[in-house]
Amino acid sequence: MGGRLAVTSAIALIALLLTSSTVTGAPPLVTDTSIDGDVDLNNRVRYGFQAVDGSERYNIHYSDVPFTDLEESSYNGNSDPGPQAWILVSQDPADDPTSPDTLKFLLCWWSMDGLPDDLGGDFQADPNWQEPTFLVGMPVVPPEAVSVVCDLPGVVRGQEVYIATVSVDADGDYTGDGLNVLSAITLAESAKPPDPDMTSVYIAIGVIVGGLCLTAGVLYFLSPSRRERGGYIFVLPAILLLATLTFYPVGYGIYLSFTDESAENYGQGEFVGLDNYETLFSDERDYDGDGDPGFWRTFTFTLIWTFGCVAMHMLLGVMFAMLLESGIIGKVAWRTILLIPWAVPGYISVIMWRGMLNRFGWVNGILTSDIDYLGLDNWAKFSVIFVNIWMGFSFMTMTTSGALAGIPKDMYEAANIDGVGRYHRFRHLTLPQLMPALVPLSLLGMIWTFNLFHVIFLMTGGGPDRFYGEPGVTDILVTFVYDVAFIDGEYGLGAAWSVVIFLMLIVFSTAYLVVTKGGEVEG
Amino acid sequence: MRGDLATKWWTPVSLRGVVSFAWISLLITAFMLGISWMRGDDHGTTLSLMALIANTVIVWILPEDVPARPVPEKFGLFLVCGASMAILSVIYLSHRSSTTIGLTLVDYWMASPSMIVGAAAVVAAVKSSRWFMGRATTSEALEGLARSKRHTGRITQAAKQIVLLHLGIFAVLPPLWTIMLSLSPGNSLSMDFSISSATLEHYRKMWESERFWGWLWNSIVVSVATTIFGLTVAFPAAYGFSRYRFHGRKIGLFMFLIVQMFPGALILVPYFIVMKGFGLLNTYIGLVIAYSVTALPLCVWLMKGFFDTIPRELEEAARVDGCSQIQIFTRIIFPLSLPAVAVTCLFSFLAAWNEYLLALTFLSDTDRYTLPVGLASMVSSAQAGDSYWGDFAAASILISIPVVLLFIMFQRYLVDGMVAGAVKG
Repeated sequence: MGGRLAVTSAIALIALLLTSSTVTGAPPLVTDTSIDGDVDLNNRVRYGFQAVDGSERYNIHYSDVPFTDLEESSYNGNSDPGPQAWILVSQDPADDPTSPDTLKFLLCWWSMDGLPDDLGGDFQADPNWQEPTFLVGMPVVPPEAVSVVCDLPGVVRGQEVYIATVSVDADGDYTGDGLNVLSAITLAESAKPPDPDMTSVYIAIGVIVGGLCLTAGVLYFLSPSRRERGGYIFVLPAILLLATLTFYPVGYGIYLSFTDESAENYGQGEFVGLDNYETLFSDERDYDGDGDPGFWRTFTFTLIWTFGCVAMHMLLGVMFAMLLESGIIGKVAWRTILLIPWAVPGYISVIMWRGMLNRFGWVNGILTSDIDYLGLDNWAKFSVIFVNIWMGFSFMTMTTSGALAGIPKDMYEAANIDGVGRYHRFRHLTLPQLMPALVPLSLLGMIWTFNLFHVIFLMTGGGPDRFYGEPGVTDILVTFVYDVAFIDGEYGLGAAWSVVIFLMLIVFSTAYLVVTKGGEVEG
Repeated sequence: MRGDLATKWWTPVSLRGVVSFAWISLLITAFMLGISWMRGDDHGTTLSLMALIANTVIVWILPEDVPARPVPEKFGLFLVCGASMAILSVIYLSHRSSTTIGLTLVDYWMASPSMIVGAAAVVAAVKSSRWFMGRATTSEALEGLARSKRHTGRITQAAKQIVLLHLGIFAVLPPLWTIMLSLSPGNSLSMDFSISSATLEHYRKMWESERFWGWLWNSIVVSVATTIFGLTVAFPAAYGFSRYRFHGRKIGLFMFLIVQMFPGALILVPYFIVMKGFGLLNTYIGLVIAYSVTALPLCVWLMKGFFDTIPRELEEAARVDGCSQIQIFTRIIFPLSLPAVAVTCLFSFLAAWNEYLLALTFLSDTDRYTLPVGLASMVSSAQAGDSYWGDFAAASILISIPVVLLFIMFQRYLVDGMVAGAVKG
């Protein structure tokens, strides 16, 4: 953290406040602002404000559209409120040991004096200014703090940003004091590292394309028969696309997993050997102190998720397909209705369920219960699996009923004459006939479910969260990779997770290929 | 003799009913138990637990297959369990005092199966006891047999329809909820929907929202471009794999197969870095390239399978008649393969239309969002106050209707295509 601050303060202060307005009667909260370029991917706006008595928390809203008015609702209801920051005020702030430095995204200092003359100064070195403690990533300043200076992240360069700061009292109400809105524009030259050198990527892609074209050309001219020749030409574009845009990225990803590439040193990752893999399994990032940085926990839940969902899909699919094919009235209508969960776009289904399972949502309403389905560990696990069962059972029903319809009817007639019981008819007649369709389907289902991102991401976002930097309770491997790579910005570590996932998937894939005999490549 | 047979094979209609419905009532009573527990309703929990036990006993002692042993031997136990099921569910109903019609309906729905099955079990037990004690007369048995014959089919059909009804409600409940939400005034989750207060304001708002149309346009551009680009590459490749026998053909086909099993997560990070390096984030081209490559293997496999079914003799005859390779392609192969092309197009279009992860990763500019990312962003804000549930619901309905219709129309092809190894979207 120290290094980062030093760079921040070294950057010159470039643009200043453009406009500022305060609520009449209320003392101005924000007294000065300035804009500052930052070493982060995003530029930051630095500004300071005077503390308000009786505040429990300061909410800082910022937006690229103006706030319509200064009512409380207009902050929450702004059409695009953008990121928000909170600063807590507490008598007894407990420094949160579980929050790693990288997650203190809001840089902040407090002082017993008034506001500084020069906002561009080095607050780190100034003895009058102290750093707050952090509670789950949020800065906590003591009540005796008179003024606070902070660097707001996430501001786009060249775009005007509106900032509103409000103080919130112990009851969670807006105190009205110090409601303040200002707008500013950051003109700072982006201090992020220069765009990386893509030459190596160009060269790699060039080599792949050239090599494949050359091979195809050589084969074309060497091939004796016409039945062989044209094939190279026809297939070449697709192979090129596949090689450059699938196999090359996979190889690149494997390479990345051995580097320390991240959002901060983007394009300058250095080879670090197996460090990322060690981090994955070691307790270096074990913030909750259970001896596991989350890998085994996530892995276990991924398996529960995969097998639970697929088993239920198969079970329900076979049951409902047998029901559909058992001579019912209105088969076509029922089939169409049962198709709906599969037909509705997946992301819409997931969000619908999230709304229904919300604590104040419809499920609790109709059951007159009060359960936070997505906020309690076990309920959240149950809910994501339940929703995925809802989304997947109809596809299995459709496929199984297709397979059932293909079973010759005279077998059942013979069984009926012989007086075979219902169970035995299923066990010895139906099931063996279905197996050739069910086995590859269930393996394929496992590959899909294992890789299924949007259900968990949109339902719970992997939450309920345990500790910053550790996977949440419902995170599966692929959702956590996203967090590692794109929330924490650790590309190298994310790539290492991906490679581990890939190795696991090989097990499923091999099973699938063996069962389907290489997908009937002969065909 | 005829009378003996009749008594031997006679099964009371009520017993048929119990056989068909005992499992349904078992499941619903289990559901009632769960709900009561979640509500923290101790009386309800006890009552439904007892009813569940009685129901389980009935399922346990049911004759295995009705024609083989027409009546349960332990009819005394049958009687007791049936009676307790019926009585317990009546007590449950009288104990619940729900305020709204909806909640009352839920209570009645949960209690009635156990009531009906319990009553039927009582009747069945009484009839069975007459049979066991030898007091059933031949004429009674004959009449019972005739009644069984008349009603058995209907009872089974009714049971199946009831199971399907539950299943159907389960399947359409979330979409139904979304429709209600989209018609309710206000943007919060806690809707109270009624026909009189139904409003189209959310639809109007979405219809007039430039942002929504922008997202729709982005989705259309990306999906159509993906379809066209993907097909342009996949069509010749599939033709080549189907018609020519060249070195590396099997390896090539195998590559197209295993690629579908690569986890998206593995490609995601390198894709992002490369796209970022080339400045293709937040562009249509970046997404189109990524989607086309994702859909390519499936398109190749689908169309290759179709080309394999077109007889090679057709082309050879054309070649003898002096057609060039290009003419063969445009005059014979393409017109013949139009159905396969259509299905393949549908696949790549829908895959791109519904894709979320890549779009989320590549797009950070709200104006460039595709529909999935855009719609999700409407309700994804951490604070409840920032969510637009009503607007989201209206937009979802507008988006879903054409997609659902496409699925219904082409379900056969889509199912077959998915089984051929699709990437689920």
